Amino acid sequence: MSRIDQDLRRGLRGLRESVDQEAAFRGVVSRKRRSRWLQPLRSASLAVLVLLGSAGGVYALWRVFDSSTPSTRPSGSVTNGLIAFQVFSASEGEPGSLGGHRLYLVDPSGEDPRDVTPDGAEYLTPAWSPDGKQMASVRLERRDEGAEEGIYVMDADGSDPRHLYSTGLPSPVSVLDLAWSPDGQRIAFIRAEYPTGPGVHSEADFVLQLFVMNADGTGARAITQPDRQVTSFSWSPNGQEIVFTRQFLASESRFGYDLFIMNADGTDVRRLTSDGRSMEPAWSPDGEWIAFASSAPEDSFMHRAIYLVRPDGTGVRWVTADSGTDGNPVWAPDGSRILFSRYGPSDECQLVTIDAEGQNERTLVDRAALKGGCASNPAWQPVVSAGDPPPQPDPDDAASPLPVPETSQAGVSRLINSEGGMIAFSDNGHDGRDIFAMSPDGSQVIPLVEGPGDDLMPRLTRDGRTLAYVGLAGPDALYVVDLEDGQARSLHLFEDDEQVSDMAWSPDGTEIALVIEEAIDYDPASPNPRPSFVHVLDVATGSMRRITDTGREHSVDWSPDGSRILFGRSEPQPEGEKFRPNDLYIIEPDGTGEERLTSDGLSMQGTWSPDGTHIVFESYIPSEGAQTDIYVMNADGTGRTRLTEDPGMDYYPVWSPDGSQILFVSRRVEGPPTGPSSCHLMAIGIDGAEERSIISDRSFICSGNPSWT
Amino acid sequence: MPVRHYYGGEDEGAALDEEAIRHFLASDYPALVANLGLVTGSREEAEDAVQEALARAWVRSERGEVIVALRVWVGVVALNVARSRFRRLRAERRATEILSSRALASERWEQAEPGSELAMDTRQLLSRLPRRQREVVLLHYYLDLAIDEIASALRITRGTAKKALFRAREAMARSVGEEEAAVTDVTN
Repeated sequence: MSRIDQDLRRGLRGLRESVDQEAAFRGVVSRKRRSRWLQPLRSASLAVLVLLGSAGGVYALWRVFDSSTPSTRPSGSVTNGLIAFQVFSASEGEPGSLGGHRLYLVDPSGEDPRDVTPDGAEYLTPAWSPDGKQMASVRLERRDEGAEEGIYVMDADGSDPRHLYSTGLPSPVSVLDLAWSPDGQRIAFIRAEYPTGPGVHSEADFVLQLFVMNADGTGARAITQPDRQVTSFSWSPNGQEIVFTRQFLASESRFGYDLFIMNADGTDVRRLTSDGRSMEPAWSPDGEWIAFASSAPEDSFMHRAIYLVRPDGTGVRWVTADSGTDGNPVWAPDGSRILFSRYGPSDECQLVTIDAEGQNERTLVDRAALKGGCASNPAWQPVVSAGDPPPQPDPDDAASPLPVPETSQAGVSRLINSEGGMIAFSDNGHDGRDIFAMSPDGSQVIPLVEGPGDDLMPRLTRDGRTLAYVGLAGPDALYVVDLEDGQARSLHLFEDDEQVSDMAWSPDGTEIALVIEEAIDYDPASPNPRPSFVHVLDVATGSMRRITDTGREHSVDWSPDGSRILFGRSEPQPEGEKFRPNDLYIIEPDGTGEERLTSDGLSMQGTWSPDGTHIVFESYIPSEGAQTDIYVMNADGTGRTRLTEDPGMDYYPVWSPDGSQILFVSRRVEGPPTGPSSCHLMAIGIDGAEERSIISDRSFICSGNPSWT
Repeated sequence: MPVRHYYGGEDEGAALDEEAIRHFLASDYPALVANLGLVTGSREEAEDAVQEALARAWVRSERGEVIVALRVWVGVVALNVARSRFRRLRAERRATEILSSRALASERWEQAEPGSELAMDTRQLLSRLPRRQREVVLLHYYLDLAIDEIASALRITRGTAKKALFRAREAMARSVGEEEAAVTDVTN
């Protein structure tokens, strides 16, 4: 071993920080409270608090059903019976510290929650038979040599458990979600096989397959391929289809989840959602809707809400909007309510019901009712009155019982066509940064891109019909979205460590100018940034050409007539100076005809007015520390006028489509330069008058980077 | 059979409870924060990421999963937590680069506990490396991961991991005047 190896090992192991251990412990406990709700992987052996999908309880209702579709449901009306659920308690159950899972029943009113666990083993994930007379459940028995898992069926009161299916012992296999087919003939379940042996295993290596077996436990077989990674599912009420969640690796450290529908034999798989954060589907008894939970980000606590979507992918809307983490939705057998689990940031743990319009929310059970235990994985018992003739559908039920919501697509169209145009910006969303569209007065905000991971740097074409942005969910990539039909495609994948720092559409929408920092090793101690150049990307072919050569370019905009590109360039930082000099330049899109536009060393981030006569830009105010303000000048660099004089930093200036206003981000710092700051999206008249805050009810992220068309 | 998370083979893994977490905070936490701080450039970020990783380990343990070599597992997960945050910050830094946080980050380190002279030297050596190289150095020299394990932990190719480690050694060897070290194969 050479000296450098020895020195490094010794040096690194000798490092210590003095830490406040008590504060660190509080930090760990606080993060644990958040993260325990957010782990996406489900496993029966670890189903402590995880959010299993809609196992059981979903049953065909007689009403509002396509008569051309053969239905296997029994005749008779269906009403709401008891609610079964699992309760995890760290202080109860066997063996001690690992906690235990028990089966509970409760009346739909929330009265009288009772423990019906049949024996000394742990029971999880109850599922009702379609006639409501039996309950299936995952049974987990921990032994020294490992946990044995199996599927058991029992009477409706939890008595007389009978073995149906076993994973064997010892076995790297778990049974996750399970549900009876609507005709009662089969039981579907998710079988999870874990990797074993030495090596580095991640959750991405687990094999999660959907299996179907006969209701007597025979004939178990897989109906999805091993790479399908099914994490939750629900039968359609006619038993012919299954909606399921597919897990995929969305980034290096996080999974994404989308919903798919397939035939009950596993064929004809169709995508239902593509936002990468949809999971835990539950098909409504009338077949019209699928309830599901949105995902939450990996690194911080965010809301998880219950949504509805039609089986054809339209009509997405919220049902819950609480500050908790909502999951496990199941429908009441009569379709009138949705039951789900809710976890709160302070370790709250509840089962909650709400009607499908998102009204009349009611807590069914909480920790107090369960001696501190945590309820999850609910299933609602169907009670079939076999003798009753099926009621005739009420004419009012011919229409959906739910209001048809306006989709975001319609909202986008309305914004595009509205007076004053549309502003796109990135801000905190459900899972990292998302991209939003907003009316110029800030009164309407709708999500445009809500994928997993961070979505940044939105750029609208001049007609407002196409959006380009940078997505960081996987490798950094440039995406283009047709806002008319919602179709998105990745246009360019950046190399590892390459970085886009700005981009702009050509006026005709055929090309995009980008500033890209190169993927090379550089000296982080240097005050100068990595080399970055202006490139032009052909949208149709994806080909890219570099048009600048100093490697110090940092912002870009295209002239309205398409003949020139405006960019910023910095000079190496002079010794002893606080800032690098920055100036604005123009160049033709083929890389010729470069001209310097400013020479004060203070100008950057310029954008052209819609008529091409002026340029708005940021400028340092050297006498005022790190402050930047917005200036406007003629397109030839003459006639500079200061527009803003705010006590902070104003930056990212863009023009309104009619050229009368400038939109910019204003960052107000409290205390020292690195102290807390709040950022606001502001607009100001081109004459310097009528400065106003566009989003005033909350703080805007400081890197919002807006685009206005 | 419980899920086993395996990095290295320092121990058999034990269930985590409050006592185990407190023990970790007293024994391994200060060094882990110091080492991860070399990668992130910020002690606060390092503490945040290590606490997050430790919380995840605790949750997994309560679910019956077994984490073998807790120190290494927490180190790898904390590094990946910090990486995710860094990617976003890097992508968005244009907004705040004017404030030139670089100078302020250096000041923070100067104010931090200096430790031994040797530790300071190591800190200075590493601070001159690009972030990717600092990451592989941490994984290889502090957490003792082999190239394949580094590639797996960072989800990069084996070639990228190998190249980054080679260049890091080359640069540090140059800094301490040990030319021969740079040409030694470090792939094992």
